[in-house]
This record gives sequence, structure tokens and C-alpha cells, in this order.
Amino acid sequence: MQLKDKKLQSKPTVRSALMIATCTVLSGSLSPVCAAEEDDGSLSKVGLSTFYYSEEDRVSVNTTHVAIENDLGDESFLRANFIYDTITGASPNGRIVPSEQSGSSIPFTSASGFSISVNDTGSAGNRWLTEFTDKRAAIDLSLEKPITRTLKGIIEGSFSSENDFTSYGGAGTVAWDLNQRNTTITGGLALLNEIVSPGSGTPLGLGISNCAETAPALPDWETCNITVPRYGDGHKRVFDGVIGVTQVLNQRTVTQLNYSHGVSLGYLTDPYKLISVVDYTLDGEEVMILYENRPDRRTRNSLYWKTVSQLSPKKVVDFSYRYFWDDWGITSHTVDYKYRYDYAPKSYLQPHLRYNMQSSADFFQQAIDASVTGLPQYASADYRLGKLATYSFGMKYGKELGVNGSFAMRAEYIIQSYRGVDLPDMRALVYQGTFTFKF
Amino acid sequence: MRILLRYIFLFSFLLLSGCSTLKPGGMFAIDDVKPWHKALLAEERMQLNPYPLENSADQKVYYSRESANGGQGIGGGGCGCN
Amino acid sequence: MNEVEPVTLERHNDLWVGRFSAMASPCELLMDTPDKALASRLLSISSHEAKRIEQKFSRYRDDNIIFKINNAAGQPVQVDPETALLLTYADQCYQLSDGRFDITSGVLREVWRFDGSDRIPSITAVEMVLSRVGWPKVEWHSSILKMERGMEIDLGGIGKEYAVDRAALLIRPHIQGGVLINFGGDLCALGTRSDGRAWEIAIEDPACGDKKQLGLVSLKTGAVATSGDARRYLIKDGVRYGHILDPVTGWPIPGAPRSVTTVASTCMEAGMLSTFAILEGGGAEAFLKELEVEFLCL
Repeated sequence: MQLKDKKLQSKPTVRSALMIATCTVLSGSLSPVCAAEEDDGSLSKVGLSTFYYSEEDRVSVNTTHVAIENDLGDESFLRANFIYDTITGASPNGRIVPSEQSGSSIPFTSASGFSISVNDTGSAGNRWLTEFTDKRAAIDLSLEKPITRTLKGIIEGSFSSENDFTSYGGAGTVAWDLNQRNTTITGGLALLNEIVSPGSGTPLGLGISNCAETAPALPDWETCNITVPRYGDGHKRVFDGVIGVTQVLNQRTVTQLNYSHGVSLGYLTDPYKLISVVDYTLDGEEVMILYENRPDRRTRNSLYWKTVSQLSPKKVVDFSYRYFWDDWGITSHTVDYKYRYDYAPKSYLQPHLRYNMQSSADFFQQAIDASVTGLPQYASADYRLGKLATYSFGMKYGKELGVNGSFAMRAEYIIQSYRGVDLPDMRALVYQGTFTFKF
Repeated sequence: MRILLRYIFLFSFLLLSGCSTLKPGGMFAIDDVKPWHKALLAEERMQLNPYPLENSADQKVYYSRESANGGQGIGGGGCGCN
Repeated sequence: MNEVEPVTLERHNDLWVGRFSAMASPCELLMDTPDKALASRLLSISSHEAKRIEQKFSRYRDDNIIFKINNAAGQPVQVDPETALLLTYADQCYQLSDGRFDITSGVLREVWRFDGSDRIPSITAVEMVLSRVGWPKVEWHSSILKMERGMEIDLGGIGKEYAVDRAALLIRPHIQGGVLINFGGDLCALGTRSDGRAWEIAIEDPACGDKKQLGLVSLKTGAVATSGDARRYLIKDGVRYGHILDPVTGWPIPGAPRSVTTVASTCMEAGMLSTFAILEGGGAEAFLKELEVEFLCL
């Protein structure tokens, strides 16, 4: 007569019943251990974050994020994230930065219903920046459920909306535990649909936005036929897949290696970005402004390696390296390093360093030479596709509040410097405060 | 100045690191870890994504300022970050 | 039985170590504090509580409630609240184990003597004793217990772990640093050591005299208990009969591991989990894995 013959109750119930029975015997003296056991019912976690990002003279972002995790029991979880961003400021639009001498400036209207910045002739001003204001709301929901004792699955759906942009999509992941749960293999697939809808439509790639009125000579290949942009919304479909291995190395260290592969299809151009046509015989004066044009397909790959290790009860290091490459000719290395020091039982400081460098895209060019005989098929002067390096330095302070809550605040200083574009270094500050609590 | 900055950066990584070697007791020592030895690994600060609110904010910052994205996982939404 | 073993307190490395003897086991208290007066007080509280529980629940004595119950010859016995709690606990464990944990099974020791020899009892002998075994035959409610003549209850399977948890409760309000209670291999850790380190506990193979270490448990808080005893067994015709008996059949549980060590938040829970595991016989490991208990099986 074996226990297996009479499965009257599931095994975890046996365990909790035993815990309750034990606590009943010991509760005469109000064992704190027993009091704690009751909490392990189903805990919900709520996280709140307020985030402020500010670039010197450029973009500022304010974000509020609410994250909820609901423990449904049985190792199932329901998670939700609600994010609201407000973005204001000016961003480089791809036009060349004028030199001191250049007096004239082509009047410029932005491609959409954003706040427009029109520059008069006479003041070169900030013609290479476009101002905008945007509000964005995003929500995502995910459900995590065990499939077998060693296999679990997560499905999620996301939706986000801005003035001129909408995205929605879903993802599914499975995680398989092996080796006494020391090894976990994960695999996931995601699909995302993005729609760009600039106020008056998307422009023709490399169509003419405007020409200099007094330009002495235009390129052979163009008369100044201003293209009025006006195709409909740009649609983009993004497929992503990832496989990864997470391995416990020893009692204090865990490491993870992921390979991701993704394909983006459709309208990948940025409808607000421009590229200047420049006449080098005229001291680099801008003679025309064109809309940029990117391929309608991009295949991306990355290898990501992360290790978390506890050096001592007070010191934990977290470092990662990512190598990225795609078929636009961009390769990138990113190193991220965090060092958490628990100087007191409930408080910690965590300095952070991050370094990223990338090469430029094949079709990236700062400006088009007016003397070329024909336009390239694709061209973009978006500094984000150019050769650049980003340095981040941060410090975070965290504190546990009681048994159920914690608070953290951090500040980061980010410098981005450019190699392929004649732009000054971008400097930004980040401030973020977070609260999390369980109940 | 930029080259100097890069070197300061890489150097400070090494300075802040603890010892990380393959010898027994070092960070990358490989042991067979039994279930009852997992107390340290279960701590919140030892998770692979211990600060999801900060991580999601950072990912948006770098998504809108760099071309290389992702690597950690999939999902989350898109953004028309300018 | 009249010898009084000494209670000692010594400084060892950076811990105060108190030792005494109770419940037929060597007991020790490891205290991470520089304060000798405090260590002495904690030792006194623990040793007194251990001896109190031994005196009250040992079946080897003739002056306690257990003796009264086992010699009531069919008459009802009123028990005190503490005994009532333990009997209710034993009843719940009987239910949770589907009848395999049974505090009336002690009488089987009359036919089974685990001395390493090959003298296993006859089927008739076992059946005769088995008629005096069976918790369902005991009437137990509202602090009154009534048992047939010839039946006995034995709290040996719960007593030591209960003593550990009781000692932990009593010393908890007084401690400042970490304390490890060790009553003959049943342990409870209260608070980590002063530098945040966990208590490192070596699980030894008791069959190996030279204390070969088989596993290491890192305990910050919580308890460790061990069931089984590799030294008590019989061997006949190449079959090893471990000393854990199935109270339903009267025979040893086949395939049971020689000993099971488990980790849980209280010593009683850890002890009962390891007992349940052994009662699963060959399925002990699978049982513990399914319950997601940290364990070590020998």
C-alpha cells in the first residue's frame, strides 16, 4: 500500500498542511517563523517609477511607470505594465550643422503636424534640429504559467500609442529547467506591428523637401520639384526570436548567454529625417534638403552575455557584454557594469558604467555631394546610424523599507560622441526614483 | 580627449571588479550546486533582471539614441522614439 | 540514569559553545556573541527546556504523562494543553501520511530488534503485535485520550525536533547575534552570524566512523533534521531491513534510504518531512523533489 495509490491531495498541499500543523503546535509562543509562513499565500507586487531624462539643449522626457505582478498561486503570474511618457524638445534631423560663415538658410517646414520651426533666412539658427512634443501611452500584459514541473511558458501582448505612432504585438517564451534547475534553456518569438502616421503622410524617400532659392547651381539630376509628401502611413512588421542558456556556475554566480535574431520589414525610414545636399565648391553650403530613405528590410543579430556574481555578502557585480551586427553594416559592442555594495543590512549603493560603440550603416552619409551624378538608392544622415560611442556613468542608492517595500533613486550622466557626423557631443542626465512593495 | 575617456572607462572596469578567475572559489569556478545551496542565488539582487523598472527606462533611452538594440530578451513594445 | 552529565560552556574560535546531554543525545548551542553572561543565560534556558521536555515525554520514565497514558489499561486520561497540542499534531501527521506515521507503532520493537543480526521475526509474531498498533483505534478528543490495554504511544519521532523549536522560541527574544541549536543532529539556526555568513553544517555518514563529510548545508535561518539511522538494521539472505517499520504491515519499508536530511523553516517540519520521506521507501527522493524540499538522502 503506497502513498501513490491514494492521491487524495496534491503534494504541495501536504507541505503547507504540515507547515500549518507545525505552527499550531509552536504558535503558543507566537513563533515569528510561523507568522511569516502565512505571507507566502499569494503575494502581489507593485512597482512605481518616475523617470526624468534631459539632454543639454535638446530632448527632455518624463516617464511614469506602474508595474503590477499578481501571484495567481501554482507558480502562475499575471503581470501588467502601464507607461506614460511626455517628450519635448528638439532632435537633430539629419541636416548638416551650418558653419559660422554660411549666411543663408533654406526655409524649412517639418514633415508633419508637429510644432513647426521655420527659420528665416539670415539666421542659420537651429535648422539642423526639429522641435516636437509628444505624449505616449503604453500597456503590456503577460501571463506566466508552468507547463510541466520543469517547463514554463510566458505569453504577452503589448500596445502603445503616440501622436504619430502606434504599435501592437505579442510574444511567447518557454523556459526549460535541467540539471536540478542549474541550467535553463529559453526560447522566444515575438511579433510586432508598427504604424508611423506623420500628420500629412510619409514622404517619398529621397524626395525633395526644399531647395535654396539663391543656389547658383543645382545638381544635374534634379530640378527643384518639391515633393509634397504624401503617401499614407508607414507600416512596419518586426519579427524577433531569441534562444538562451542560463547556467548556475557555483553557489554565488549565475551566467546567461543569449542569441537573438530579428527581421524588420516594411517602412523602416524615419519620415522626419532629412539629408542635406551640399555643394563643396561653395564652401559646403547646403543647396537642397532631401528626405532620407532606408531599405525596407533589416536583419539584426546579437549575442548577449551576462554574469551576476556575489563576491562577498556585501558585494554583488553584474556585468554584460553584447555584440550586435546587422545587414545594414552596423556592428556594435556594448559593455555594462554594475557593482552593488550593501554598506548596511538594508541599504546599498550601486555605481554603474556603460560603454557602447557602433560603426555606421552602409548607407549612412553626413550629406550628399551635389556634384555626384546620381542619387544613391538609400541614404540617411540620422546620427543614430552613424559611428558613435556612448558613455554612461551612474550611481544608485537603494533602501529596503520594512519587510514589504523598497525604494531606490539613481542619477546617470550620459555622453554620446560622434565620429561620422559633425555634431557636438550630446550630454544627458537621467534621474529616476522607484518604489516597490508587496502585499 | 575621447581616446583618453575610453581608456579611463575601461580601466575603471578593471579597478572596480573583484577577482574573477577560474580557480576554486573564484567567480567562474564551476561546481555542481545542490538545491540546498541556492540561498544566495535566490536573493533579489542576484537575479538576471533585478531592477525591471530601471532596465525598461534605460532600454528606451538607448533604443532612441543607438542603432543596436535588444539582446536581453524579447517582448516589451515598440516606440516611435525620436 | 541517575548520572548528571555536566553542562559546559567554552569559547571556541569566535563563538560560545555550550554543551549538555539530553534525550539520549549530545546537545550543543553555538552562540555568536562576545557576551559570556548572555551565552550562559541562553545555554541555561535551552538545557532546561530540553530536559523538561525529556522528562515530560520520554517513554523510559515512570513519572510523566506518557507513562500514565501507556499504563491506563483502557481508562480515559485527561492530558494538559501542551500534550494535547502534540497529540493533535500526531493525529494530523497520521492523516497527511495516509496512515504511515503512527505514534502507536512503537510496540513493534518488541519483535524487531535491529542489532545487525539476521534474526527477523516470524509472520505470526508480527501479526500478534500488529493487533496492538493503530492510531484509529485510539479515541482522542477534547484533551481526553482512551486506548485499549496493551497499546502504547511513543512521541520519540517528534520529541527532539519539538525540543529544538521550543528552545529556539524561548531564546529568540534574548539573542543579539546568531545562534545555532544542535540537539543530536536536529538543528535550528536563529539569525545569521554577525558578519552575515551562514552556518555551515556538514552532513556525515554515521556508518563511517571517521566522520566522512557527505554534504554541506548552508543555513542562514531555518532548521535541519535527519531521520533514519544507518546503524540500526538487520541483514538476512542479502536483504537489508532498515529500522523504519510500516505500521500497517508491521514490516520494514522496502527501499527506504538509510537516512534523510531535510531543510525547512522549523525543526518539527523538517523532521516530519524527512520521516514522511523515509516512509515513502524507494520513492523518498521523488517525494521530496515534488514537494520542493531541500534534502539529502543516503
